[in-house]
Amino acid sequence: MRPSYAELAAASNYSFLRGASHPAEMVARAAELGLAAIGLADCNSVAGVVRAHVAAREAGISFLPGARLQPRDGPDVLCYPGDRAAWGRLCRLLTLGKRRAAKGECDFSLTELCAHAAGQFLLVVPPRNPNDIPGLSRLTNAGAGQVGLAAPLCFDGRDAGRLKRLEAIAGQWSIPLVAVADAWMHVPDRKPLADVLTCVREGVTIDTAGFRLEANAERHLRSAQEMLGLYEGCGHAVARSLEFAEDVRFSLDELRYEYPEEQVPEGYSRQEWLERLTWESAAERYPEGIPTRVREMVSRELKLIAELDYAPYFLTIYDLVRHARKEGILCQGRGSAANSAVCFCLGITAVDPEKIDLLFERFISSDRGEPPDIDVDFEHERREEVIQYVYRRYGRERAGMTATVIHYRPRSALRETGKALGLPHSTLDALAGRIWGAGGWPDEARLRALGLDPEHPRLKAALALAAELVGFPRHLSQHPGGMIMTSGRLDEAVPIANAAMADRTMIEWDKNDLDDLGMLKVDVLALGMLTCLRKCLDLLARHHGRPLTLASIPAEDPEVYDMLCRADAVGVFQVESRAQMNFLPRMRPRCFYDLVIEVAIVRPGPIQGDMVHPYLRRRHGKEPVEFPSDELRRVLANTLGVPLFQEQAMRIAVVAAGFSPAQADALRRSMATFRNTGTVKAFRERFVAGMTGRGYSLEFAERCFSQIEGFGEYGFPESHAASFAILVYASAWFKRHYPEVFACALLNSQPMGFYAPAQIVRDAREHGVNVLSVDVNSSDVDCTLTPDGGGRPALRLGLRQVRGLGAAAAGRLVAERESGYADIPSLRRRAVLDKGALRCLARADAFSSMELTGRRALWEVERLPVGRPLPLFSVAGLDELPDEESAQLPVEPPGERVLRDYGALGLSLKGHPLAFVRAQLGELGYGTAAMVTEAGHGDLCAAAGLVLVRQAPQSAEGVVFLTLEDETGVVNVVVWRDVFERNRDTLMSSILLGVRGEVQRENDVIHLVSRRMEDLSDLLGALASSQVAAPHTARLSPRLGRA
Amino acid sequence: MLAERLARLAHACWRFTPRIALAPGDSLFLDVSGSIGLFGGERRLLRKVLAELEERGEAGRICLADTPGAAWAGTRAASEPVTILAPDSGLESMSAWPVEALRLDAEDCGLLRELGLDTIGALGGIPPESLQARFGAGTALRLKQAAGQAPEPLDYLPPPRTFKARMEFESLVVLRQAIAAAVAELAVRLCDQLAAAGMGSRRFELRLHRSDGKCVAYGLRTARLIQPAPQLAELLDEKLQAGAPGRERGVGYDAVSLVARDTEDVMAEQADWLSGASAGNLKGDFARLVDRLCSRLGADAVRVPTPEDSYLPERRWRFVSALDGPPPEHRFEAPHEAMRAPLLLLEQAEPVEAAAAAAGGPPAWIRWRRKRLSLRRAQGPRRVLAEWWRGEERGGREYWLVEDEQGRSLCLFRRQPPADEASRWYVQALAA
Repeated sequence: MRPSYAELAAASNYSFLRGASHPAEMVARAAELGLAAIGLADCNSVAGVVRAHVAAREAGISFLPGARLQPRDGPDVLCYPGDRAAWGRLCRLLTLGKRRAAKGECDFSLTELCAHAAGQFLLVVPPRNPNDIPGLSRLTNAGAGQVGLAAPLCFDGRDAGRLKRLEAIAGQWSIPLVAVADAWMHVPDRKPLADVLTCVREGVTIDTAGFRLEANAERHLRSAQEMLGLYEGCGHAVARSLEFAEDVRFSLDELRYEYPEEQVPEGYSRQEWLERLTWESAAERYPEGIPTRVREMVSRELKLIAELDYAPYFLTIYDLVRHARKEGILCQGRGSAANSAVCFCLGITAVDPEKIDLLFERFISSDRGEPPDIDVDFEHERREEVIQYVYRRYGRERAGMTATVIHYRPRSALRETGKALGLPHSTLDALAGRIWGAGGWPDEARLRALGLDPEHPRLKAALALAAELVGFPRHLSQHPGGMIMTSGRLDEAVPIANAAMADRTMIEWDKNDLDDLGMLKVDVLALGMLTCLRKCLDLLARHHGRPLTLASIPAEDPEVYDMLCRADAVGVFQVESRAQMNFLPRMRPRCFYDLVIEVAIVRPGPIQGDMVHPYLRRRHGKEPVEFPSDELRRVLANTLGVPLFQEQAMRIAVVAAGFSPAQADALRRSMATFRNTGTVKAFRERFVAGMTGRGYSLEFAERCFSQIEGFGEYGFPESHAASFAILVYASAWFKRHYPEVFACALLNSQPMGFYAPAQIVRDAREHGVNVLSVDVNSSDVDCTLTPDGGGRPALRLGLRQVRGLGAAAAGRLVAERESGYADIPSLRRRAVLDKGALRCLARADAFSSMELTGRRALWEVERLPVGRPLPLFSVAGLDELPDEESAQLPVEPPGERVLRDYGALGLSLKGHPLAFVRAQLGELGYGTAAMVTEAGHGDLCAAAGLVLVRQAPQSAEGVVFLTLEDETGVVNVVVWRDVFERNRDTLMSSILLGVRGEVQRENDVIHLVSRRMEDLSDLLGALASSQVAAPHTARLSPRLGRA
Repeated sequence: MLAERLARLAHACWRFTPRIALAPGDSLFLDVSGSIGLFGGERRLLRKVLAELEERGEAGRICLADTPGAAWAGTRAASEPVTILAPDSGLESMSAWPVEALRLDAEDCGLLRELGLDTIGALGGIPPESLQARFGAGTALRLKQAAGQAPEPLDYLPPPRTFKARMEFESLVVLRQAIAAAVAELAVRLCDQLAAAGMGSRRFELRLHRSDGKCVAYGLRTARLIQPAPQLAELLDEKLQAGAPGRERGVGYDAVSLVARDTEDVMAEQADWLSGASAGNLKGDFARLVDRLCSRLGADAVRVPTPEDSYLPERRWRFVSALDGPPPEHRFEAPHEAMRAPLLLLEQAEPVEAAAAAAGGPPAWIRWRRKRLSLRRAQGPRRVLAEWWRGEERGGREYWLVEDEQGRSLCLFRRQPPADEASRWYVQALAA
C-alpha cells in the first residue's frame, strides 16, 4: 500500500511577513507530492483560503479551510471547522478578536476560543519545550469536534526526545498525536525569501537578524514517504493525519449566498416585485409609451433574471439608487448588468437601450455562469452618506466593505528586499526611481547606467528575491467601494475586521474571492464628475430655468461633437487628459458610440496591443475593414474589426484561442495581479498556439495577447465605457452651451479631474465667461453665478478659492454679512475672524470693495491684534484702534501681484506670471506657446512655461509628457527617455521650465520634442522680490496642476 | 556637530578678546573694542581672525561694526566676506541690505517682504509706532539696536577650563623614582581637579621637560573615564618604564606636567560605576585589567571575544579590541540549549572517514586523525542552513553530537543535501 499523508499545518503568505508561498503554490505542491489532503491555516486569518480552495479544485486535491488561532494566553491551535455552523463560529471568533484590536491585529483569549470550539477540529501546536502545554486541559474539555496534538519536527538536534514527550502527553490526555510539516513555504528554496520577510517584519537587516531567522529550511511540504522516514517509530502519527482530515467535512462550497430579504412588500415574491417595479418605472421613462424593442428586451431580461434567481441582487441595487435619488445624490451604474434595459428602466443607468446599440449582451449570459456585475458611482462628496445608509439598513453584522489585497509591486518589493539585504539608501533610491522612470524591471544595462554593478552579489540576490516577492500580499486594505450585504449574519460567513477609516468595517475577502464563492457585492464608488454634473443641473435649473436630468439632456448635438473634435475639452469627463486631447482630433467623434470607443481606446490595453492606429486607419477609410475570421465578425463588428474592449479580448480568447470561459476568466485575473511571470508566460503560449492553430496570423495573436496584458488591472470593458460616455457627453454639453455653469460647478467640486482652478478659470474666460474676483462683500463660500447685464451670467469666485481660509470662517463671513462690511475691523468683529483668516483674505485681494488692495489691505490687517476678537471688548468698544500716521508703502510691481494671487488663490485674474518675465525669457532665447503652435513640422523652437502636468504613462516606456503653460497658451512637450534621464532633477523639480527642441505636427496635434531643458524657476523668485534677493525666506510658489 | 565646531572656534578666539558670545545662526560675537590696539589696528586684527578661521578649514565671513546688530547684518548681507563699516554711520551703510539681516523671525520677514518693506532702508522709513503696532516691540528694537540707538547686552561665554597639573623641580632630577613620585603627586592633583569639576578623561598626556629645553611626551588611553589617582599613577609609571626615560647621560628634567585631554562630563558614567562597585566590582576589575594590559602591550594587542548571533559554530563569536569590547558579564547565550557553543572549536572542520550511516542517521564509527573511534551514542540531527546572504553555497549542514566509547564527545556534520552517496563527514569541534 502506498503511504498516505495529509498536511494540516501549512500557512501561506496571508500570514503576512511569515508565510513565504502563495496559497495556490502550497496547494499545487501538495497535489504534486501526492498528499491526500491539505489544510491551510494562516495566523488568525482565513484571507487566503478561497484562493487555496480554487487552486485545490483545479489540482483535484481535497482542501480543508482553517486558521491558526493564536490566543493571547494559550498555545497556537490549528482550527478546522467540521461543518457550516462551526465555520460560522470560527468567523465570529476571528471577528470578535479583530473588531477589538487595531487594524491588522487580532486579540482573543483561550476562554473565548473554547467558547467557539463546538464542531471544530483542533490541533494544538506545542511550544518548543513541551514539558507543559498550558491550556491543553481546557481545550480538551471545550466540546470541540476533536482535539489532537500536532507533532512538528524542529531539526534542532532534540526531535527524538521531544517526540517521545509529545507522545506521552497525548497518551495522558488520550488525544491523537498528528504529524505535521508545519510548513511556511511550499519548497525549501523559498528560505531566502522567508528570511527577507523575517527581516522586514523585525525591521532588521539580514546581517543583524541572527537568531531571529530560522536555523534551517525544513519548514516545507513533504511527501508521505518522506514523512514516514522522518517519523520512524512514530508512523501512527503520520497515518493519523489522514483520519483527522477525513473527518473534517466542511467545504467552502457550502457558503451559499443568501440575499437580504427586506425590500419586498407582503404578498410579492422578489421576482414579482422586481417585475412590477420595472414595468412601472419603464412607463415613467417612456411617457409616450414603451417602444416595442425595449418592451421585448425587458421581457427577455426579466425571464433570464428569474432563471438565474438574480432578482434580489437587482432589488438590492435599486434600493441603494432609490435612496440616493431621494437624498438628491446623483448616481449611475455601470458594468455588464448595469447596461440592461431593466437597469435603465429602474433608473440605475442613463444608457438608453433604445437609442444606443451596444455590441455585447447587455446582460449576463446564462452560459458563462458569471455573476452580474454592477458598480454604482455616486457623487464623490456624498458617497459616505450612501455607505452609512447601507450600514444602517442592514446592520454591521450583515454588511461590510470588501477587502483589497495590497500586493507588493516592483517598487515596494525592491525597496523592502534591498533594505533587508542592507543595500545602501542611495542604491535603493536609484533603483526605486528607475522603476518609476522606465516602467519596468531594471536590466543589466540599466543597472550599469545607474552606476551599479549587476554582478555585485548582494544586488543580484536582492533583485532575484524582489522578483519573487512581487505579487505577495502585503496587507488587506478596504476596497474603495465594494460592499457586501447578506441575509444571514455576515460575520458567520467571513471574519470582519476594522478598516483604517473610522466607522468602517471590512471583511477578509476581496472581490475575486467573493466571485469564486458566488457571493455578490456592489461597488459603491465615488466619482467627482457626478458631483459636478449634479451642481451643473442645479445651476441650470436655477439660472436658466431648464430642469434637466442626465437622461434628458438633448442627445447627439452636433455642436457638442464639433467642440470635442477641436480638442476643446478642458474639464470634460475622461477626455480632458493630455492623451485624450491629442486623440480627439484624430478620432473625430460624431456620435455616442464614438464616445464609448474614445473612453476605452486611450488606455494601456489597446495601446500595448497596437490596436489604436489600425482602428483609426479603418475609421478614416485608409484601410479596408476586414475581419480576421467569420467567427470574430460578430465580436468585432462595432469596432471595424479591431478589438478595443476588454470583453472583445476575452471573447477572442474563447472564440479564437479555444479557452473555456472559466480559463478566460483565470487569464484576466492573472493579469490583474502582478503574479509571477511564469503564469503569464504559460498563458501566452497557450493563447498564441490556440490562435495560430485556428489559422490566425502569429502577429495578430501576439498583438491580441499584448492587449490583454495591457488591460492589466485597469481593464476597460464596453459596459463601463458606455456609462462613462454618458458623463462625457453630459459634461461636454454643459461646456459647449453653458460654459459659466460648467466652470462654476467644476470649481465647486474641486478637488477632482485633471486641471487646477487656474486652468478652469482661464478656459472659461477664453469661452467668453466674465469671471469676477473674490470679494468679502460679494462672494459666497462656493463660486456663484450672478446676473451680468443682459447676457450670460458672470461667474463670481467663491471664498472656497481662498487658500488657508477655513470653511467655518468662510461660512461665518457669509452668514453675518447682511448689507455688507464697511471696513476690516467690523468684518473681524462681526464674523469673528482671527488674524490668519484676515491675512488670507488680504492676500487674495478680497477687500477691493473697501478700496483696499494688495499691500494696503495686508498693512491694515497687520495692525489688528492676533487671535479672535473678544465679544466683551467689542461691545465695550475697547478694541477700537487709535488713529495713526499714514505710512508710505512701496508700490507693488504688477508681476508680484500676480504671483501673490497664485499663492493666495491658486489663480490670478490680473495676468499670467510669465507675461512679467517675458523680456528675460526673450533674452534667454525662449518664445511663446503661440509661436510653437504656429511653427512648422521640424522647426526648432524654444518655449518656457509653468509645468501643469507631468506624466509618465506605463504604456509609454519611459517617455515623459509635460504640459507647459504661458500667457499665450499651452505647449505639449514630449521627453524621450534618454533626455529624461539626463534631466531628471530639472524636470521633476522645476516650477517654471524652459524647453528647447523640435516641433512635431501630426493632424492638429502639435508637440515640442525636448532636446534640452532648463530650470527657470528662479525667474519667478526674482519677480516676487524684484529689489533684493532674500537669502532665507521661502518663496510663495504657485501651486500648479498635479505632478 | 556645528555647536561643537563653534565652541572650538570660540576657544581659539580667546587670544583676541575675553568677551565672546554665541550669536544666532552659527556665529560668534567678538567684542574687540579693547584689543584693537593690541593687534595693531582693525585690519590687522581682522586678518589674524581670518587666518585662524582658515587654519581650521572654516569658510567664514567677518564684519566689524559699531553694534553687534550691524556686525551680524554685515556677515549676512555685505557683498564682501570681510567688511568694516565706517564708525558712527548708523543705518545708512545698511539701507540696501535685506530685512532678514536684522535677526527678525522668519515669519515677520516674510510679511515685511509682502508689504514691500524688504530692505532695512525701507523699514527705516516707516513711523516706529506703526511698525510696533504691527510687528511688536521686538522688530523696532532690532532696528534701533543695529543703529546703535538701543543697547544690546550680550551673554559672554565663561573662560574655558583646562585640567593640567605641573610640578617644577628645584634642581635637575635624574632618578626615575623621583619622577615617579612627582607623577604620583600630579595624578592626585589632576584627579582632584577632575573630580571637583565632575569631569573624567580617557586620554592623558605626561610631559617631561628636559633641561636642554626638549620635551618628552607620553600618551595614555584608558578604558575607564574615571580612575582613582593611585591607579592612574600606576599606569603612567608603566608607561615611563616602557619608555625608559633618563637613560641618556647628563640629561635631567626640570619639570613634569600632566594634562587630561578630551574631558567628558562624568554624570552618565557615574551611576554605572557605583553599581559596579557594589556588585563585587567585577566590571571595575575587568576594566582595570584591560587598562593594565593595554598600557603594557599596546591597545591593539588586547582583544576580547564578542558573541555573534549565528547558527554556525565557527561564527558564534569574534574578537574585537578590548577597549570597545563587551563587559564581561555578557554571557554567551543562545535561544536553544542545543545551540550552545562547543568546548573547543577546531581551526577548520576536518574531514573524516566514516562508516556508511543508516539512512538519515549518524555513522557507527569514524577514523579521525588516524584513530578509529567507535561511536556509541548520538544526538541529532540538527540542521543548519548556510548563510546564503554571505554568498555562500546553497545547502547546509546536518550536525550530530556523538560520543565514543571512551566518553569523548565530538561535533560531527555532513553536508546537506548529501553531495554524493558516501557523503563526507567532518569533525568540527570537541563538545563538553
